[in-house]
Amino acid sequence: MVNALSCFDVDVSVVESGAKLADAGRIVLPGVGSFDAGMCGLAERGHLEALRNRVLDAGVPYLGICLGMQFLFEGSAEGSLAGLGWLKGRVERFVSGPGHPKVPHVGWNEVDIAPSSSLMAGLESPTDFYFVHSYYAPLAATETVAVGTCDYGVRFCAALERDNIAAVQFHPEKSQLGGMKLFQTFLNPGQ
Amino acid sequence: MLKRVIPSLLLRNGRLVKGVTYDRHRDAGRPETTARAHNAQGADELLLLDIDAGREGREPDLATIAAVARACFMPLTVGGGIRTLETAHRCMEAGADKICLTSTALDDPSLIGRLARMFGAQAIVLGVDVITTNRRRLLYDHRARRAVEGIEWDEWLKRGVSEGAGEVRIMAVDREGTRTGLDLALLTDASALVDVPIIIEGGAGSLDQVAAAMRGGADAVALGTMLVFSDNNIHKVKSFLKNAGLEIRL
Repeated sequence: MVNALSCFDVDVSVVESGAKLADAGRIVLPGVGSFDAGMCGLAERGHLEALRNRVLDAGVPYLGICLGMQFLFEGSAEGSLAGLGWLKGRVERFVSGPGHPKVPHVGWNEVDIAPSSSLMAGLESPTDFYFVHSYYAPLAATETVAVGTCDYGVRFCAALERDNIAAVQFHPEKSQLGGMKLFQTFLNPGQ
Repeated sequence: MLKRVIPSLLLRNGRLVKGVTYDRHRDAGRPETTARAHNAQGADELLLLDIDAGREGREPDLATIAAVARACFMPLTVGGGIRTLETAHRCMEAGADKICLTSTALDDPSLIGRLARMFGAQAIVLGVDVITTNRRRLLYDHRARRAVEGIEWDEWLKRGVSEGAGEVRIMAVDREGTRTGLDLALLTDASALVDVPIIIEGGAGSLDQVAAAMRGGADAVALGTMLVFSDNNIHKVKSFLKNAGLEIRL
């Protein structure tokens, strides 16, 4: 992640505790691992209050990636802890077994991009991005905020935007050119 | 869902090497430079295995992993001697996206589940080395350079996935480096046993052979020799596959 962001002319710091988020002009929350482990980590480092203050109250631009998108919801089928709850609804697991695609969803897949998307404004629709996940945000929960969808047995929300909050299920830092363009737009909107 | 083409890089003493049936390794270039070239050509992922770590009882070469990761804007899977949560964590910190467990999982199957709970099943790749000799398929231990006793390859495959691996990389050891074609029968049998994505490796020598494996159900094909000791490159391989009608990202 730092590797990808460092390609742009910005100061990137990895913040270990919520207190240090106070100066951030933009916040990227990546997420690798499992839902509960991730939410625990956020709580332990004092990020929950800080994220609420900076993103919800102060309107600092936020980009959640993979788990960083799933945390936005009330909870996930993957774990028992509550998410941030900034978006209503729950994260669900892909159904596996005969007649269904293999789970986890691993590899490159097409994302259909809505013309209304600011984050992906510079990209053609569809664009391929790299996914690696077993859980997803359902379209039913993201009707008003979804700006990118992907099909994997079920059509799910691959990207969403609401005010200063953006989140993607795929990994832009691992999606070569498409991902770098997305970061560029996030870091320099309107250019 | 697009099929993936994954360069398979074997690491020894800070250099890339390539062998035949897990033997007679020759120098195959600088890791970072090679990674940069593959990234530029649009490789879908990269697989980097420290082939001596398991046998020498040490962690994989984190410095080289970090250097390779810096050149990769696509996912990097690393493996070699990873037997603890701490080591896996250090690999991730160095830039790995997924962890491949082969011999260390044989020693301690519970490792798979422990790592999957921490990093998510999607970040854990089970490496299964299979050797076919005299028409018999056996699970192989590359450290001891002989078949594993006490468990069949298919039992281990199912066990490893049920322990929590989200993906499997199957290597046909007897075909590695031989360019005689990927083991399609092994692929078919493995696909019937588990429900997770399968990366097949071992024996790819021609573009047609790679296409055949993808048509045969492989979610991804890992290439070693074909990308090192021939005039093939990622772009050429992927263009061929796409023109052959396969779903490939160009």
